[in-house]
Amino acid sequence: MPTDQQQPRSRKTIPLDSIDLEDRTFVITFAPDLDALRDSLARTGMIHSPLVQEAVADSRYRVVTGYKRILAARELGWSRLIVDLVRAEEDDLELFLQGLDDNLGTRPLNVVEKALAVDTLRRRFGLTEEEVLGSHLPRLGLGSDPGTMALFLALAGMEEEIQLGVTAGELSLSAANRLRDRTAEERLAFFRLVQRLKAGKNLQRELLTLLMDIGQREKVTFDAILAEEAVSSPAADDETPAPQRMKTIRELLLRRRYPRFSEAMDRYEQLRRQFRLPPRVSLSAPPYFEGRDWRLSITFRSREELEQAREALGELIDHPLLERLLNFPPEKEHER
Amino acid sequence: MDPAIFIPKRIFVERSARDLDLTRRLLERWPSVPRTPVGSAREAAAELSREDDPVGAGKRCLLIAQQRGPFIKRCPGTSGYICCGYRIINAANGCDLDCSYCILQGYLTNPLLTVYANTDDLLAQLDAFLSSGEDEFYRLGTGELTDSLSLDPAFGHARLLVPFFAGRRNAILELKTKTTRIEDLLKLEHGGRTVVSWSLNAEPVARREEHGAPPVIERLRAARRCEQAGYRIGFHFDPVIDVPGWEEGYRRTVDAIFEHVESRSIAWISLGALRYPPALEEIIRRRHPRSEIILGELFPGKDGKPRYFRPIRTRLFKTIHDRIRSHDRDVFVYLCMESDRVWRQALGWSPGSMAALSRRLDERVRP
Repeated sequence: MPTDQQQPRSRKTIPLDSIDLEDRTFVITFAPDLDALRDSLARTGMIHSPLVQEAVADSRYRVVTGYKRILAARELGWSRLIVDLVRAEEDDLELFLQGLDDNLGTRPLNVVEKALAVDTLRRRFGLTEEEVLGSHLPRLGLGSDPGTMALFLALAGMEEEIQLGVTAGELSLSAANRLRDRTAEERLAFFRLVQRLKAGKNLQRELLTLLMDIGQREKVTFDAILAEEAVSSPAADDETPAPQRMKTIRELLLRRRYPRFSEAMDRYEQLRRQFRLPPRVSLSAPPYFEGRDWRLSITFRSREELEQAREALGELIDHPLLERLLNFPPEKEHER
Repeated sequence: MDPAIFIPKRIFVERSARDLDLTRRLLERWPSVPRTPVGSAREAAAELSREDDPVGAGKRCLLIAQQRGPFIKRCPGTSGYICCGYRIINAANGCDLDCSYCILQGYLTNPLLTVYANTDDLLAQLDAFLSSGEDEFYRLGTGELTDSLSLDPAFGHARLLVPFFAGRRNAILELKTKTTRIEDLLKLEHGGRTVVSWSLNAEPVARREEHGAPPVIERLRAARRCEQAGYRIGFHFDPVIDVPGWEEGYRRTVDAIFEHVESRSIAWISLGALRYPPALEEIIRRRHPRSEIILGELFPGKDGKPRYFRPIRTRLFKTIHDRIRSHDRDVFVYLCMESDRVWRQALGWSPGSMAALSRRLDERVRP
């Protein structure tokens, strides 16, 4: 059983600005929330020293662990830090894995951090697909599916705005997955729309499918579709509540995606309105006019309302257009 | 097309099937292909599950297995629509062609191309089945879960089944294919008890969606050769696909049928519009990103499978049917898994039930 502790490192006080915070060789931290950490540092000081790698020649120190602590210390205006040092010649992959273990043992990683970890192992350190799938992906709680690895590698390469959106839960991971083969312009246009309209996961999926299908059929990119006045105008109308704007845009896209069905629905609605059913009596056609089963529902609160519904039902049965309604779409519909 | 074109990259052999004749023949046919003994199909499938595209990988691997269940099953049809009362001979699963709409892509528990090597059991089950219902008539086919002829130069099912059915008066065998691998068929004694059928489409659809399948015109040339060898011929427009230019595309294919095959040799022509289990949509999007089939106006039918909006289906069927009728007034045309209403609107009549449709089809091929 591995019980060995790490060899003691040498400890040193160094100027904070001698640490290269741009060097992310070992760092996967993304979108850190430093507030609580900053308060803790201000109150009790740095209990666990960050681990940094010695500078080579005239370069600066590289962060191995404790990136967030260093950022928080800098925000507090500290100029010097006590750090543990590792030698410059220590193996980079080993140090990265130590840093990863340190993170996994102390906090949950967000999805982008997991993506950056997978990307670093695969691309920077050149681990094989089998090595990453076999041991590292499961360690990150991601199973061992090649599709998941492909998604996380793609996410690591996406625009920071998209990564922030995924981390904040504004863009679903499955939507990000489907956006991975699209252009940056398409990704950003889609993300900005769903962010603006606060669209949930299911709506994101539906919108994306509509845009992909319309785009493929009409041979246009979906940033171009979203830039069209008919879509961009309701999207930007901040006076209207987001769900209502969402509904408008969804209906617009549905009509464009399913033009013949939409036209038939318009004609059906025109026909149905001619029956002038009271508001508490509702008539539903078979879903997509595929079956033969119609549904009639009556809601009432009193004998009078029930009487009213009975009267409406009688009128419905005797209505000269009933046969036409029940046979909708008409036989000649296909010739339209 | 070269009949020997398929060479598996790897062969999995179920241990229980290793001493069977067909297993030996297949292993001799591909002596240099790596082979792996496995306890079950699941074990072989697990090996593919780590692939980016297990379905694509499964098409390049062969599993030689033993059929432990029944070889003969009723075609499951679909609820709420009129089906034709067909029976499936499950001698192989999977296919080396890669059609974008193929429902076999959804069979993820075993994406491997699979052949069942216990052919003695197959013949014994067929014999028992047909003998137990001598007063009935059966239409059976091998082409529901695979292409009947695509791998037949290796599997040899036609050589086994065509002579078997030649001596049966209460059944007909249908071999359904998109390929031209008919050389073996031409040499067999069929006794008029085998229908060779081709799955057809508009040529632009075939080119874009039926990867690995020969052009429609080559299929029809193969049909003509089978006709000359005395076989009855069937054609299946399934799936009919609603894409721009479909009318012209299907018109040309219908015209080409009657240029290649005599009407009197045609046992039947079926029409079935695109439909698929809902889960297949994501697979199609992932495996065939350039496919246009999912861009149609499809909605869940009574069986939950996406289908074209009914007036679109009706128009597709009516147009193709009218074109067929312009060539021949009598050739039997039927719809696959359609409602009574669509039958009436598109074809002008309806069998009304599965039993009635089944009877009509039986009459076409009874001795």
